[in-house]
Amino acid sequence: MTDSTHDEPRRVLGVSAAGPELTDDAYVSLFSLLVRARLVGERLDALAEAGTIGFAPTALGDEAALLGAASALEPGDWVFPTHRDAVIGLARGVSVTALFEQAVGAGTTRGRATPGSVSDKAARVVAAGAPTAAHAAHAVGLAYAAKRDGAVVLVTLTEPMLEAGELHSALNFAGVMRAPVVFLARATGEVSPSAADRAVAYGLASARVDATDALAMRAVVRDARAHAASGAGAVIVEATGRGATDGGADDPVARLAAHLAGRAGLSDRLTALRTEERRAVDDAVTTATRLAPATAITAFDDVFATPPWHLIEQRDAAARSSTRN
Amino acid sequence: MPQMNMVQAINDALRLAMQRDPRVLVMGEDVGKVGGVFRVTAGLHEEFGEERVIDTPLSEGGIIGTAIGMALYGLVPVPEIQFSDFIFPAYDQIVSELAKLRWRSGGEYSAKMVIRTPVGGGIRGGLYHSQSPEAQFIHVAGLKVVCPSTPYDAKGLLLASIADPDPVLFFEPKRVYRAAKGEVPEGPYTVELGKAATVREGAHVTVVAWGAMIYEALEAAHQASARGVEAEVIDLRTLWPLDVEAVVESVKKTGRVVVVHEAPRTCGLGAEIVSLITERAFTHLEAPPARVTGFDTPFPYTSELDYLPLAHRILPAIVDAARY
Repeated sequence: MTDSTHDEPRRVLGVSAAGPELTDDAYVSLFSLLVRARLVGERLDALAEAGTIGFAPTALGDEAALLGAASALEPGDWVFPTHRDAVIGLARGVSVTALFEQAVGAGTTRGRATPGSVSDKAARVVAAGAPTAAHAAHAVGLAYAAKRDGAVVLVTLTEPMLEAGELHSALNFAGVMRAPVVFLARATGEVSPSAADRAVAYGLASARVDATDALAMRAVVRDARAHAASGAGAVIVEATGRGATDGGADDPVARLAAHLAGRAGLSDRLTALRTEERRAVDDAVTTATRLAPATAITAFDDVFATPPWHLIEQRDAAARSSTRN
Repeated sequence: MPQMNMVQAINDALRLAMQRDPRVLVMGEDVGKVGGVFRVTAGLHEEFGEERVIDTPLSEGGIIGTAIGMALYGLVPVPEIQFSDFIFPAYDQIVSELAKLRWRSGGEYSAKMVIRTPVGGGIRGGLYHSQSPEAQFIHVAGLKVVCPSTPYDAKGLLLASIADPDPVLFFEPKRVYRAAKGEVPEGPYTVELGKAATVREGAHVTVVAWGAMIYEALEAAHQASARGVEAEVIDLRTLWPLDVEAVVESVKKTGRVVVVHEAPRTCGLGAEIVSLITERAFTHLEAPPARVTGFDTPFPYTSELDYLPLAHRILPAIVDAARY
């Protein structure tokens, strides 16, 4: 895995009838992740439109890029998603309920962070903070620390982040520290030069892959992960193209469904699975939207490990004046 | 007990922390082979190797950003920013990420680290080697801010900061890096964060200061004494959360207060200190609280001895407060 500057994006779906060797269970598991991510995105959009939540950063159309990539990781690996990429956590053990709880201002993040910012230590998911690409350097630092344990870090980037100074810093440190990071970048043609074109400047490897092809994403990130874990340094994986949600040729969920429909014995399982996923997401939305948002008084916790005197004073004053405790 | 200057005391603290805890590491520009521009990290690279004493690219945002990632994994980074004037490229990482991480993740994650950086003027360093940006970090929820004035406190406060669960900005007053000398115990000890020290007792006026200005405040207090005014000098040591009780108790006794800092006056920490005193000891005040500070200008290269709140500017403020 070296310089991909002149490579065509890697593709599997529609190229090879067989595809990489996956068990039926692995196919079903991957497909269910894509379906779940799609449903979550659709429901978050609907909640935002209805005014139930403030806004919904979603990755509709990017399901293959995100879940295909995450399905290539090992249990000890870490993921740093941007807000819009929060569904990638589904592949790491973040529950659908946690995503909706976060969106309505309840749940583990206690109504503090904006929708999509779901961090989960058990799942080794660290949600990005501000959308400035600052999280890319965090991924590099954690990868440097985790290198001795064989872990690799996957960090997702929006396309405009390619223009951010903080991403330059992170890529530079990744090169200098030979940190085991896979940078998952997007290329829809909005930003030039693209992410993969920049890799050589940082001494990093790169790969291009069709963003709507879940199997290709999985295969490429698997290779990238192996490269990073071997001590050879970070890899920029450029997911090329823009996914659609219309069930057509650019819809990543539809593409995988069509591929799997051709496999003997899977068709019935896929149909049942869609129904099952829809019910699970509906239940999660119902549960989450019934929750009361976290109260203002809890905002004084976790500023510091233990609240100092000034926060105790302000918390007590807020408790006396609050209309909603 | 060995005599040390502040550089030696901080170096001693770093070495001890690294010997005692394999998670502690040092990183920054030229902190490794060179040993730091002020020699604060001298010898650590040889003793602990390049994995724990990391020479980084010239990128303050990258230094703090990667340190956050290391801390997320459980390491305890002690990054150095070469001058606190250069901390602003890292400001986003510090105020938007580091300070908010525990809070925004609902306590799921935190990134404990100690950011060491030389602060203040008086070394003929001009506007980009002399500033005192402490208030710009105190204004942000989630950061602790420390500034020692003596070698003893520097070592004890640094070891306490490294043990603290929250991110700490550790400002080192470079004007007295070598000038401040004193006895420093061998081995580990801590000076508790959030506790001020009364470095001179006096009944007439309270002077609140920190860092290199402690020596100016003490000199002014000495001169005031010759005029019959006894000033009590409080060294804050931890700038935030500050020891409000020590400050307020002293002002209740003296009824008069002068706050001294190098940073520009407007929205400086002195403004907050005066507000806290006014809110808590209003009826005890016998004179308007006074501030002796840097000016609301960039830090000047050629006239820094006029800009800094040195003893000759503190003395009249003490005397005026006493005679109000």
